[in-house]
Amino acid sequence: MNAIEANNLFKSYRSVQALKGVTFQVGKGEVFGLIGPDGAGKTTIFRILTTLILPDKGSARTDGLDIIKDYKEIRTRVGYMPGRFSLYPDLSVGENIDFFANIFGVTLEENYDLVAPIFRQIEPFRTRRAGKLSGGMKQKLALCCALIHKPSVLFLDEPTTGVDALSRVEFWEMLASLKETGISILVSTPYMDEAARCDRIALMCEGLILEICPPPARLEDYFIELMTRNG
Amino acid sequence: MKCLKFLLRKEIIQFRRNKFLPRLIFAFPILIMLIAPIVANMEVRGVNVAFVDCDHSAISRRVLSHLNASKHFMVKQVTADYLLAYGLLEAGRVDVIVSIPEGFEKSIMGGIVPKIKVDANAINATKGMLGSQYIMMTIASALSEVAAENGLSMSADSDPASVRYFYNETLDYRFYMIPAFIIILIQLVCCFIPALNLVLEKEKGTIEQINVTPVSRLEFTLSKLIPYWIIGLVVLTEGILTVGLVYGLWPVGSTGAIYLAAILFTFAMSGFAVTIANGSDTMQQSIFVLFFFVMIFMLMSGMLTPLGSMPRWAQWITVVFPPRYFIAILRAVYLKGTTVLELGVDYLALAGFAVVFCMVAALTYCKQE
Repeated sequence: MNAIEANNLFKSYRSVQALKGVTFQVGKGEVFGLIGPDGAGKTTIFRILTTLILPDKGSARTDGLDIIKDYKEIRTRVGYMPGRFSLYPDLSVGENIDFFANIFGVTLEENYDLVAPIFRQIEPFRTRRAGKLSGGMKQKLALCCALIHKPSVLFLDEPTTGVDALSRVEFWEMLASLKETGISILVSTPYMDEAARCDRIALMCEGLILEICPPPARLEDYFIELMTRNG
Repeated sequence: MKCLKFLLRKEIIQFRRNKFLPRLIFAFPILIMLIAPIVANMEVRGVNVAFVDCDHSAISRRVLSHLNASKHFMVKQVTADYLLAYGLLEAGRVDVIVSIPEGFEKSIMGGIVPKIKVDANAINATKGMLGSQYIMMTIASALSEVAAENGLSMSADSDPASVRYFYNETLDYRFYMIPAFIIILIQLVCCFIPALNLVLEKEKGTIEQINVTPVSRLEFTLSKLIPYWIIGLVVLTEGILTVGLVYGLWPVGSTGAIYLAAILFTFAMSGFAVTIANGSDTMQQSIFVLFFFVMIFMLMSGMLTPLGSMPRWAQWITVVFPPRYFIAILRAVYLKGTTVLELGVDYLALAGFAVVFCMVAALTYCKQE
């Protein structure tokens, strides 16, 4: 069973066609990257697979569950980190973690092993308000909150946008260690250099997947060539 | 429902961390109740009077001295020239002209009831009406004094009727308005704060993170409503205490009846506000839509002007306004001591709104688009 199966997804927002028939699969324990410029439809795919919006056409399964029929069950099994920092800025680091643990009915201690590598880095700031953290720290906290209930599929929408170079490298190292625990990860990024750290990538442009492949060397050139070939 | 506890705890932490809100909720009711009843007063003071005396008699001077003695009037001009006085009225220097005709004393002594002319500027309708009424009362008391001194009877039908005012003996408009101010307070707090809180979650994007969790929409909606029910009652308590301590007006009826109505009212209004917030994407949207409704509620629910003086069709529209029932209950219980049973219909209407609006609030919140 695949972690994610998307079949011919269509979605439009009023006059804008965000997705024009998107099909891909993500295997269990795989790190799958959605690579493409802004407006390619990456966030729309995330929102459909995490049951936040419904597709106009097509079907999808997340962790083997239908996104329309079993949306309630999916919400207990996925971890989602939106592109925009969306934890409570007026709650402290510890309070945010406790809050999200509580509403999933778990405790930090229960799943400590999973989040420990990330949590240890933000632990010194436990009493600081989330809104007062640096960009990199915010991302680590958000990842921590998205992992707190031990999800089987992790959705990371542009997790490294607006984060300094060093924190980006750190962040991807954390993802690599998460992969070891068997979590499947769908991650999007506009940065070509990060694509190399995925198992497979989907190159996206204007609501279409141009190609799905293992990250090639000289990705940038490849992407430009692909785009010109597709007009 | 196991998540509700954690959601509420989060709301309380956020409320306490907010630098502005707790202070606002503490200070706002007290300030409003200290200022509003004093400034929003229809009592007529300082009516400027021109006294046109064409009689120059002892009795006309007696009338003048009575006018001078009254705290309501300022006699600006005493003259025998009506046109001069009329000029002053037109210029806005005086509000009322009292004209004593020639031969006034003579006709009184002859036992005939004389006519006194009173002209009032009615641009400010209340001032014109009440001012001329006060003048009439003052003149009547002056004349009856004169009549008594001279052993005259002033013809049977001019016997001053004895009037006694119930529930508000001093005819203080303030007491009539205080329940309305309390309602305006609760309405502002229970409408705007929960709605803005919810839209803020949308603008900050935090609601997105909640939407992918197993939190049910009823739990989430309740977590937005319950804190404001409590705050609504805190505001009510502050209002009642301020009014009682400052103006000496304590509820005549039972406090329980007031709180029961207030609880139903806060349910209804906060549910209504959250429904609007659910349909808004931005703060501006929700504020303007709410402001529109709050204005209409204030103008049409009988808070400022009586329901009965509106046209029939407008009265029918107010049937769906929750504040209409709350103001009726609050005035009756506060000023007259009416009981819950006697106001059963109003309580039932409020309860109906409470249930409907809270349900609509939960149903219109969509975790999925």
